[in-house]
Amino acid sequence: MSVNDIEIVNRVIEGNIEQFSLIIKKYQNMVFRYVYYQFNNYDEALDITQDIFITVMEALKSFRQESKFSTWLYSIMVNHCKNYRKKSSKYSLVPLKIIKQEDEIDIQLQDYRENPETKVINEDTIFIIKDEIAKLPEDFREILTLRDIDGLSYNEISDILNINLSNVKVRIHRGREYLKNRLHARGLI
Amino acid sequence: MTFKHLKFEELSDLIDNVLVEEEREYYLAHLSQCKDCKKEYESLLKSISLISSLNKENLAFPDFSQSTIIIYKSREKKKLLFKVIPAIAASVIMVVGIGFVKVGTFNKSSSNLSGKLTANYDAQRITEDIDSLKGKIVHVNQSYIDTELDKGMLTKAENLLNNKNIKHAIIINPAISRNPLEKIVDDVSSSGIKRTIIKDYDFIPLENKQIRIRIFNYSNLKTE
Repeated sequence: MSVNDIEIVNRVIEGNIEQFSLIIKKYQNMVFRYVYYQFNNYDEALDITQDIFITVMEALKSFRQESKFSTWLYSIMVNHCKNYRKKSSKYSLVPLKIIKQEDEIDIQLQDYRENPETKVINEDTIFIIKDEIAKLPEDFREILTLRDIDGLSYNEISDILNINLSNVKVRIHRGREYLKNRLHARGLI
Repeated sequence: MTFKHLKFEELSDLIDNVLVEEEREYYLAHLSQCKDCKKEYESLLKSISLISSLNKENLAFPDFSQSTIIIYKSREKKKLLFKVIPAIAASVIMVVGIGFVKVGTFNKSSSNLSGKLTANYDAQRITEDIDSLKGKIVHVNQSYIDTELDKGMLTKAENLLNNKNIKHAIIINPAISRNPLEKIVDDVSSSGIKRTIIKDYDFIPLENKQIRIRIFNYSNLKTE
């Protein structure tokens, strides 16, 4: 509940910084999930999520309580991801591969994530969905993650992205149409 | 019932249930009779369902709460250290008996010790003033202290230093000497408060929006 969030935030500002762990425990799943689907990279998502929580904690005194705390936190999360992408796009990404003569072998890093839900939906299907989300234009990816994965309302998205409701609608429509066509092309629909 | 097909955005709004009741009923009625729209609707529903299924993906990750608080505390300590650096610098100056120039402020009857104390008091005040001007001390030695300020703060800084009769030089060119020529320093001190452009030394790059002010020490102090 937002009221509880604000109570906790006030305690942290007053000096009881250990209380911030309650905020983190409450939101880390959503934040990590958002970041992970933005970058489709587990290790990057870990680093970025950590940075986001530190940024939020350091900026806590500037939270003017004009909006829900979650909205404010998500705004920082979205902007942090945008800034990270801008910075990282300055450098070309080198795929983690060993080149052996003419063959290329992908190094499969061990991933500790458990994923029982993929038993319901085929693992290949999940892979394709993530792949297509990762390939979406940034505006579509961020809004579809907020709406269709995190299930946020149009109003919340409007506040987080700082765009008006009609723009939220238009962006959701276009993003969904784009993704639907892509999933159709990949044979999932 | 019209045979005009529903638009994609109308189907999307229907799924999100962001329509007024009349619209919703109309669209549902249309879907019950139009196979093309029904197919498109189910296709979109499937697409949304697929992406939404990621919400149930169990992503394992370490707890960020303790690491965040540890990093936060560490950074706060560093910030605190940076805040006390000017005070530390002032203390060092006091120990080695170095003060700052303040022309005509020493009482004739003051002892050397009181002069030093006054100079030191001023040093502390200056560091606080520089801090209040959002400036920082970038270099301290026995002859002078260099401060770096935003250019917007120049007038305020000048007024402050002039009011206190503190000898200083405004370094206008976008660089600062590491090892200033004595000649220039003498020129400044011998003519009292004077703005002097210092240039052609061993430069350290300075950001364009910033300016440096060199405040000279009390070795050049003119006591009455």
